[in-house]
Amino acid sequence: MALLITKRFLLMLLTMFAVSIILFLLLEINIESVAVKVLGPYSLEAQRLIWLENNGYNEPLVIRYFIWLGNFLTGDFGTSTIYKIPVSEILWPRLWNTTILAFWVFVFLIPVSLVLGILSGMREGSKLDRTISVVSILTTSVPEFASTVFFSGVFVFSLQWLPGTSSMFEGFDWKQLILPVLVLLVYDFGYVTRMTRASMAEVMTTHYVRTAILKGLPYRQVILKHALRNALIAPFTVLMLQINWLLSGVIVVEFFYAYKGFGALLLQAALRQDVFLIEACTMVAVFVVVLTQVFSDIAYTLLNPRIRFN
Amino acid sequence: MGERLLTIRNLQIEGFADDMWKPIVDGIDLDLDRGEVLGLIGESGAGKSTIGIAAMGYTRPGCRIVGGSIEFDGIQILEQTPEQIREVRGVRMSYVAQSAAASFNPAHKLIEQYAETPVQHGVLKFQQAAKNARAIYARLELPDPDKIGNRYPHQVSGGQLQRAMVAMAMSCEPDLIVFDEPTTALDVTTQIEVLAAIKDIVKQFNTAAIYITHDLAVVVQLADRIMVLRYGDLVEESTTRELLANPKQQYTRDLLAVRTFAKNTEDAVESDVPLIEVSDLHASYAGQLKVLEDINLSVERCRTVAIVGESGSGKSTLARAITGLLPPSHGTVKYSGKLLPGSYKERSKDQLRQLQMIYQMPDVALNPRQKVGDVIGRPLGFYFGISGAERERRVKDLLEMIELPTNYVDRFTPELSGGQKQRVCIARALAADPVVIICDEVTSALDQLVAEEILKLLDRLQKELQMTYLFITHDLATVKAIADEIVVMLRGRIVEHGLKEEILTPPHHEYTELLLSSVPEMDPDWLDQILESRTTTAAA
Repeated sequence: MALLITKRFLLMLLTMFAVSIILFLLLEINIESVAVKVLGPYSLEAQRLIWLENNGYNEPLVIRYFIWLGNFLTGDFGTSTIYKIPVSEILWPRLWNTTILAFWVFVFLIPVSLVLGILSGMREGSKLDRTISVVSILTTSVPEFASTVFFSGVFVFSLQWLPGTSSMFEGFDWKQLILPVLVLLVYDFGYVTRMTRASMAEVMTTHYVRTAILKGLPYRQVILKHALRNALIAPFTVLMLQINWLLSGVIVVEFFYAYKGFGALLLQAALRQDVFLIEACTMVAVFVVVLTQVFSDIAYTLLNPRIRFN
Repeated sequence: MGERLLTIRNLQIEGFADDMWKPIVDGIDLDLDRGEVLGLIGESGAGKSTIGIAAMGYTRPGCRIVGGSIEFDGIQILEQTPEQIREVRGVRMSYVAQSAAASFNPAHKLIEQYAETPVQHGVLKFQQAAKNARAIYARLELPDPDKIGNRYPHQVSGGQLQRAMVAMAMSCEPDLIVFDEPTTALDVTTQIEVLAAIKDIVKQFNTAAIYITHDLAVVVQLADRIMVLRYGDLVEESTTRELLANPKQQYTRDLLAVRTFAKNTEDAVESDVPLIEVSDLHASYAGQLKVLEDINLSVERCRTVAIVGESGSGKSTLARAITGLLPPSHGTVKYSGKLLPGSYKERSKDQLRQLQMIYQMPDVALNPRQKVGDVIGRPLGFYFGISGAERERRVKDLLEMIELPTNYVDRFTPELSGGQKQRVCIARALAADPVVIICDEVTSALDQLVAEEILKLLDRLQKELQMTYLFITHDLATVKAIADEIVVMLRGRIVEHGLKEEILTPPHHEYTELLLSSVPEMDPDWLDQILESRTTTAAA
């Protein structure tokens, strides 16, 4: 077990290392363009040369990479060209905001989608199954940009219950969190429900579930002890992938509600070619993805003894 | 014995297929006394498993009981509420399934699954149940009975798992156990252990049993009485000895006569040119696990060489090495005196064409979206570039050759029966006009009577087309029927190779002896005798 975890973490470091090389080559191999992006298109040639010299860009590529990597590892991501402040000062608070958003989505997403998926997969083809299926397909097929408009129309303009933006200028306000969480939840729960349902329905047809029934076990125990544990493996993978999506992919929702999150930051950095911000955001996003993968690999071994001992 | 335990009257069960309910079991009556073992025998689709689990008040999803009555020790099973049936299941009647590997929950330890029934029903506390489990594991001769329960199902072998399943069914000492093909998936040498275990345990506890199987030779070892079923209907019913001595129906006589087909080896074409020569071959998977070691084998033209061995002996891997699907790690394969490249990717189209293969599962080997004509026509186009009317004509010739009606060209493969599908697979191999056909367990998934027809067909084709067969099988009856030469494999090595007559006449190699003596015979005393002779040999 310790060996597995060590292996996984080493692999994770290796992946991060590989991505960092690719990222560095993509964004920093052409030093002219870096200077243009940092100093702006109207800067003078002489200014750029001075900037490049002062910032060590005339060193060989390999040395520059390792200096860059060293800075990265110590938390020095450079200075944002948009905000004119160190990238770390803006990145971490934004990531924290998104984490709050993702946390609340997860708090509702896990119980809602698992319970609905299990209920629906338990008795395939029943009325309950069909109702849940229709609802989950319907909600998932409405894209976020449509449901943001719809929910805002209902709760902000018609009922006037909730604020229409979530910028939280005057400190944290849970009311401003409701709409973004709702939109993400409605969009995502159907997908996880469907995956859970498929997995559960498959397990219900296995011979070991039949064995459990023929042992005369109460239905509750057949489900909880025999079906559930094996059925949860697939949805677990899907839930882990949702973390990646929620932390770095909720651009539309954050942008629409002016929520100061990581996704909106990534979009802004990309649109305005803020090189150092893009680099930092990318590495953080990759880190999140790799980390969740390590977690799911470890959790697999707990769910499935066949992996544990091989 | 004597007291009635189970009475089934006019049982009718329907299954949902092709958008309608069709009868699977059509008015069966069944009686079982305490301590009696009843054998249910028949081909696939005879309804025997359906009846077996229906006795426990259960039907597979997609099936329903539409009529009749089931009375178990005074309880009308079909009139009970689900809660009441639950009280009976597991405690008073239990079930042993065909595939123990699929029927144990992979996520729980053996002992937890054993103790679950008695604990849940309030019969025993966990500690007491665990103690019983260790005793019964020991009785069933499982290795390390005190600790084996702490393993997960995937950590014990197939035969051990099947015995653990028998143990689990005994956990509450039920009055009735339904055994549903409990040894079908096992090797003969393992089957004998499980059969002995079952026989011992039903005697010991005076348990009544319904033993379901398609193999008459197996059921006669255990059953007091046998019911022969076909198409959901009773064909014949009598005591085991009576059935063997005086079968009344033709179908029963067919079942008894199965495995009597034997190839006439005298008119085999004499030949001394080795067609395939395998020298010093080693093969392994993923560069680690060694599966084949030191294989030396030569196959002569127009011969049938049977490769026998238990699962894991490397016989299928040998086929994969010869066809180039698994390039050997060491050694060579020669064909007609010429060296064949190790990987099929480097072989010429003509080399590929001459070596064809037929597989165990015709269901999986055929594309369900293709018509019979396309399946057989494809190699004609691929190897010979034949198309249009010529191709149609050739496909019809091939269909006649495998004894299927020529109008089958337009049928989709799922519309065929198992035996017909295997015939189509044979025709597909023949379409390439091969010299050698490697048959990998081609009759194992088929009912016995159907399998026999396939063997006859292969034999006829060999004579007509001068075909050479490499026949891989674990079934010694098949070997006896069709082989000229026999190769016995054990743990990746060849232990014995020779003409059929030599191999099958004593003295045998020790392992060959074990294999041969483990094949059940149509004799109710066979199991007892063989076990006795083995104990005396072991003692001496």
